[in-house]
Amino acid sequence: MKDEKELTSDEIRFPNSTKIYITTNGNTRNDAKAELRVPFREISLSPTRDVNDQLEKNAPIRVYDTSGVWTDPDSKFDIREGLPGLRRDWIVARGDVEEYEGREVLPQDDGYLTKGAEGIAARLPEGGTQNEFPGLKRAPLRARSGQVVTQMHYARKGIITPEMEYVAIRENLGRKVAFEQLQGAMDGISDEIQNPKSKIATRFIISTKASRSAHRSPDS
Amino acid sequence: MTPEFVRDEVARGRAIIPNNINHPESEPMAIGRNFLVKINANIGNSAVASSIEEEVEKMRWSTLWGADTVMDLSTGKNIHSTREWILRNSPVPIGTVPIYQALEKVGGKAEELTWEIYRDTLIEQAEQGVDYFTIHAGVRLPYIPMTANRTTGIVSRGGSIMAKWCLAHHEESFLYTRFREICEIMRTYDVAFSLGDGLRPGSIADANDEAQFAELDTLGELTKIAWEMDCQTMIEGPGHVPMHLIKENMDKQLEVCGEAPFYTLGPLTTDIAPGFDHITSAIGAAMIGWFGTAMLCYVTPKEHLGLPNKKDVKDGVITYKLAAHAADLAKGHPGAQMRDNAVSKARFEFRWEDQFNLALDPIIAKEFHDETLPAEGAKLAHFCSMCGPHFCSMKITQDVREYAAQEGLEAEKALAVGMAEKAQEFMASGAEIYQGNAPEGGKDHH
Repeated sequence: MKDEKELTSDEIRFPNSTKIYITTNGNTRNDAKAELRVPFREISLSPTRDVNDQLEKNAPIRVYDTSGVWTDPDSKFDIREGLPGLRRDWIVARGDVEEYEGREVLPQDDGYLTKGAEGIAARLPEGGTQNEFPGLKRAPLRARSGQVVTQMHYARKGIITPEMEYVAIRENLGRKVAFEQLQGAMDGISDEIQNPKSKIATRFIISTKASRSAHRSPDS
Repeated sequence: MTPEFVRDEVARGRAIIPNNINHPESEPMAIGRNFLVKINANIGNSAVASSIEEEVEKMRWSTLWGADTVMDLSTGKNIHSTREWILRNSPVPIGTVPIYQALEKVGGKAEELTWEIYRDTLIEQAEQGVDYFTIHAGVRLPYIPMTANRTTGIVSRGGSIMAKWCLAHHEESFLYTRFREICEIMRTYDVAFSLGDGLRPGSIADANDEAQFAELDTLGELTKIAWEMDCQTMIEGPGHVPMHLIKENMDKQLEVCGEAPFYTLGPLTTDIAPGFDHITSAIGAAMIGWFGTAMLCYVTPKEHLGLPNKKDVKDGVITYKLAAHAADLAKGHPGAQMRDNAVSKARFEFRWEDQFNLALDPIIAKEFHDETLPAEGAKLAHFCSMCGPHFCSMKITQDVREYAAQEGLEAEKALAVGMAEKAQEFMASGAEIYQGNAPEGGKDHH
């Protein structure tokens, strides 16, 4: 087997894992009515064989997935072109941003003033930098004059952005009511394994007060 | 978890969604203590060069194993270009410490830094799409003397740069005096603050000292200003803290910073294990995550020793994933235990492949198993080389159940009968505790 140090991200395959997407599919709840497609990894399992040699299915386990479309076998991306702008339409649709020319990139931005690196700047074409990313063809965005474009600002105005709904779906592992689903899944697990004392703590944190008491720390 | 809940947590400042409008490639995620505990991985070149492709691969590598955000801490040449490549290819939020680049722009001389150069660097990086900036605005001039008698002084790079600037000019830090102007930039692009702990303790001896908590008070004061201006804010925390002093950090942070998300580096719970600091720190990370820290910054085995390679990055990420998950379990996050239960069930039923596949690192799990029992058939076997076939506790329990089912005995009685049979078998086989091909050193079973 190849030494692990030499494996690249492209060569790693999580066995029996599939990239899946949960889509809002007409039931979106954000104020922009943007349809969402939230990625997860699902690990499929083999069935349990009981004492009578009967097979019993085990439901696949879904896990949070941070790896992006890089691990989607249906997508092919090149690092010289970059990833698609998933959020671009949501941002522009809010109508509070504008494109502008942006700041000019200068040689010192790449640290060529660092001791020992001055020579590199001298060899570069006028104003150019080394290894410029070839894929970006858009101008930067900024808030229009007098506008604030933070998620906190929108939240305080009572707006549910697509970003917020995306987060909710992600944190729930794509289940409508994570807790109910969890109970259902746990019912399938034999009592012998499941220590009744370690059953999932009542409910995850909702208010400040509840959150404090939910942290069962050694001294509380 | 509903979208309304996410909105309310963000409005309240208890969670952030670090999503610069110029980083549309990123998939939204939240950092807050009522959410899953997140982890950050650091990458970045240094003066000892590594190539741009390597940095992009490091970013992909860390997110493949589970990093929720990545900080680009490059300090050498090609800082701007490297960051551009990383951002355009990153599905997770990217954080930076802009003072590093500003310092490069003045040839590494801290005293030559100016507000203008720093401000220009913030805009440069905001336009590229950096999602959060570490800003050490709490390193104030009067706090610097408090570090004089420390064992390890100021260990934060950003903190020491600003301390040097303050002393050289004998002036209050421009990060502090210009804070509102910085907020203006942050909210123009939705860059989140990660208020840096430039005076964090760099050793067990310095934990929870006057300088550290003086800075935290200032970070609390700055959080209020940031919130006034609708800027998303999290607070960075230590560092090196022994276990009994960890909770005080969390309690103070919640109180002083109005429950803004806490983002800690470990903390390392002892200084005696260079080479294993992913472990000394994961102990502290699990604890502080349980107490309410929202994001844990990973530490690799190379901490204090050198630049991490790919294996170190992976070891750091996996170690922090398990610390964060342990915290999620202790906090009672719905769904967190499903994966544990699935692994336990697979383990009990000797579904080896399932046990490997459910692991945070399926490759290592399988490799370790196969090291002593490489044959494919061993993955159907009801034992592993740890105890051998005759003394596998899980197999015995299953045998007992089967026996009970056959004999129609009640479970307890069956256990007694079954154990007596096992005892005879044990005596007959020479009363050796460890049988067969168990490897040396792998025998201290629970």
